[in-house]
Amino acid sequence: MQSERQFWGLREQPFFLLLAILIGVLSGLAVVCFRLLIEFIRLELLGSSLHPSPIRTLLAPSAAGLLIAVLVIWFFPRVRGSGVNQTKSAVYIYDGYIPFRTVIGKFSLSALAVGSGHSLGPEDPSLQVGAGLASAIGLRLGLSRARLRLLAPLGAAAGLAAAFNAPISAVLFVIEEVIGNWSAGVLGAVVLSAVSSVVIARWFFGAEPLFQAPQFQLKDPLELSAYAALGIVGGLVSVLFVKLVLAARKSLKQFPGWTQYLQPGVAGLLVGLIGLRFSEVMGAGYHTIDQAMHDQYTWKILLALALAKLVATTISFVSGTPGGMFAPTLFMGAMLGGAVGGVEHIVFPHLTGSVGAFALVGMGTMFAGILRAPLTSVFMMLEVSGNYDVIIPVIISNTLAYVISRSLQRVPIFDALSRQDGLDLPSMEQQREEVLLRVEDAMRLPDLPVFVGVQQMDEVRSRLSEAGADHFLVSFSDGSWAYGDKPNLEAAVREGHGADTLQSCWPDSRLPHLHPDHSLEIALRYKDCPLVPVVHRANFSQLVGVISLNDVLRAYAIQPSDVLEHISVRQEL
Amino acid sequence: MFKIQTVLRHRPRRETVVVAGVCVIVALLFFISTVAVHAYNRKVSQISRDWAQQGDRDLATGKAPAAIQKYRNALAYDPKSATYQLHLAQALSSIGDIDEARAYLLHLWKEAPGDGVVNLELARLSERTGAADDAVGYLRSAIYGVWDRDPEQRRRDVRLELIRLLLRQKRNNQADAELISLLSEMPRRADAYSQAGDLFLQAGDPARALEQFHHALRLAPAYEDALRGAGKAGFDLGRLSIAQEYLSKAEAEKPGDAEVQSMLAITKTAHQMDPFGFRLSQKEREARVRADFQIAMQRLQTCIALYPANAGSLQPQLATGQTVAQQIAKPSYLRSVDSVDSAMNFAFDSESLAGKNCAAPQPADTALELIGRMRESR
Repeated sequence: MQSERQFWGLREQPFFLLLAILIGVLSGLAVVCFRLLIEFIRLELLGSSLHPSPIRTLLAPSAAGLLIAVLVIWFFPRVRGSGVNQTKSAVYIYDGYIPFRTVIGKFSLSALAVGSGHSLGPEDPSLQVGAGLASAIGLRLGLSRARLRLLAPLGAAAGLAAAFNAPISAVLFVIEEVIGNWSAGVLGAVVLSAVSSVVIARWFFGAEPLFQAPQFQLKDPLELSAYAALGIVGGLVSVLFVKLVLAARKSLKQFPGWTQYLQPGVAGLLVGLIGLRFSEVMGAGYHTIDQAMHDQYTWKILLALALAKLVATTISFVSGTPGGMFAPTLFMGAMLGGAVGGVEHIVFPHLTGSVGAFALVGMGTMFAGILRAPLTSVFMMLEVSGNYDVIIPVIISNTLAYVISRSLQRVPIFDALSRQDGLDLPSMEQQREEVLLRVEDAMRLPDLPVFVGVQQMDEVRSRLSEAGADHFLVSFSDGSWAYGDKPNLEAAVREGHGADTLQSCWPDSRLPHLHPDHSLEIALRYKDCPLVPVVHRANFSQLVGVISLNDVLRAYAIQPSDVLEHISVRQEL
Repeated sequence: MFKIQTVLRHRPRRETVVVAGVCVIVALLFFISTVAVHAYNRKVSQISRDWAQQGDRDLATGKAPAAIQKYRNALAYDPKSATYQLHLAQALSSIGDIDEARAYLLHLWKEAPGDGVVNLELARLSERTGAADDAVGYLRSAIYGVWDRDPEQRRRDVRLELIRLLLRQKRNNQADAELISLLSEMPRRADAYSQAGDLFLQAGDPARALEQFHHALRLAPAYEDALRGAGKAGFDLGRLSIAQEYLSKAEAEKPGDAEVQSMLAITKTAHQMDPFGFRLSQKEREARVRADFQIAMQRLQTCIALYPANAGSLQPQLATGQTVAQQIAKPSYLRSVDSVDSAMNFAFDSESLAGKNCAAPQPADTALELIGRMRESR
């Protein structure tokens, strides 16, 4: 057995935690530079006006798109898309490896795309940049493959946390969508990394949340129905967006290969055309989201902006332009939420929640509906707004949107995108939804005699003969169990132990035991035991049932004979 | 050879090299980020200032829609700037976009509820939307609010604005109270006293108005506004000699003022019609009473003819007048002071009643009302 590697006299785990902090700091700095680069590019290409001139509006995204296409095809083929799936594929396919060239490409080309006005966001690229930096460090350190696989999520959490100034949401998202488990070792490192990066981001940009949320106070619980309506609308629009993206992307993939040189440029031109009327949809759109939350638009304009953003984001994303979906999702949510709130205010003038409050809740709604990370969507709204009062409407609206989205679009968008690319990455949502088989689903009532340790061997032998059984279970006073058979018992009696108790002369070997709520996977660990007792959690001497390998296989709907055949074939090989 | 072996033996471990390298990169990125953030902040600050200055120019030249866009641009780069928000709200208000202007102002008000400018702007918006009570509240907050520059003058201006609002709202008592408060803050200048006098006149307090005009005239004896105001105050108080004196001086200072001429003419008429003047012969006094009585009766009859709907309230007075007419027709009736008073009281009451029910009076009627006020003031 290979001994665990030492780093500066530290075992790998403590060193890993230190490394998490370093990765967080590095990712935080990278995200700071990334955000600044986007801003500088935007100022240079689109100018400082909120409504750029028509020439800039049309030229900047289309010219940038053409340049991006060439660079992606020639130098950075793996930077297409948002970055979430690329990080997942690094974790699950490439043992945590992300080429450093991809980091450079993602950093520069996403900044160019977002800064030039493509309707994309900087958060998912930040996530991939963070993951890539972590991967680069891990490779050079020569960490074990298992640790290396975990480094990418660490960087991803750090990148996302710095981009959103939201450490909790970043941790939740990475755990909900990338890693899929909550083991303490991973959680601690991810948290350390995310917190470190946020500290760095706040050092440069201040501690204020991403958006200045409006004051919110729920005066009448009946008003929650208004937010429920928003959840329903948000769920439906989420499904529309996801289906549109998937259908458009599928169609574009069937175009000849040379068109990939043109697609981002054409997408930029189309986004520019939309921008001539609605310049707010260009880029990430944080300022517009903030304006919507402060009631600066009428419901008609909000609705128009939501639809314009939906179309613009679809065009930008499916063209293969590198850039994220988080910001556009929040934008659409804010506009749609504001529009729904505005209409509800007209229909029900007594509503006390402002249109801005609906915009805030709408962001979470669309996040839950499109990205299908329900827990993250709730916490993200709390973190990006710094407002806890809004939690109940957010939970109601997000849950409805999530449920509607799940029922109308079975495969989440990231999973569907990876399948379009020919990758079968594990779906965290499916993992969450999987029905877990437990011991209680496979166990059966004991069909053999059960004795206690204080019974004499003679008595046990005669009772066994009466029952006509060859095997039996023994329960000892310390809660342990053993499995016995008739020949051994009779041999002990013949040796003159008939008057002894089972306890006094039983060898040390004991059976493992299970509880009814244990996962069946745990039962499989004891496949070599002929029988495993299932006992009560509060009283280990109380037998609830027994389970064997055949019982487990039957619960998985597998014929035991098939398994035995498979095992024998493997042994032959 | 020994040295090389020693060096090789002490060659740093791989993780040390990597971690040290990452630390160097972190330090380098930290430096780059710091420089870039400062450069960005400077650039953004300059951009927001430029847009705001352009907005100010547009607003000053009456191009409010263009100014709004410029202020929005400025706010995109400096979203917390209260000045830009305030200017944007003022620009929005000037094109009638009351709701958005109010949204910005309320946002500012939440941040700084004691800010004088914000309260003043909110008051103006509230009055435009008919929320007079809110406007009064905001103006009072502005008076006691914080002002960056020249706070005393700004508070005085706001109080004047409050008084004018109260006068427009016909809340004369409240306006009068605010005016009395204003007196303590007023500079000792003729125009300020005269302005206060005008406002007291509008608030229906001619006595205090006359006092303020006197102050103004002590500082500037030929100040035309104060002369006219003092004349009007004397007129309203029914003090004919004062009214005549100041109105004559005002006419001499600025001839051709129709209002002054009209009041002066009425004052002279009132002098000629006044039966209570000194040194009048009995005959002249009786003649004036009879003439005044006729003027009042004439007004009642005209009023009933022109406004038949109001005849119900005027007919009893006319009937009483006909009885009084028979009495004063007797040669000896007006020799008694009580009879003169009774006849003139009837005339004053009739003019007052007609004033409430009919159109504007003739100059003779106004003169008769003036004699009534003079009689009361005596």
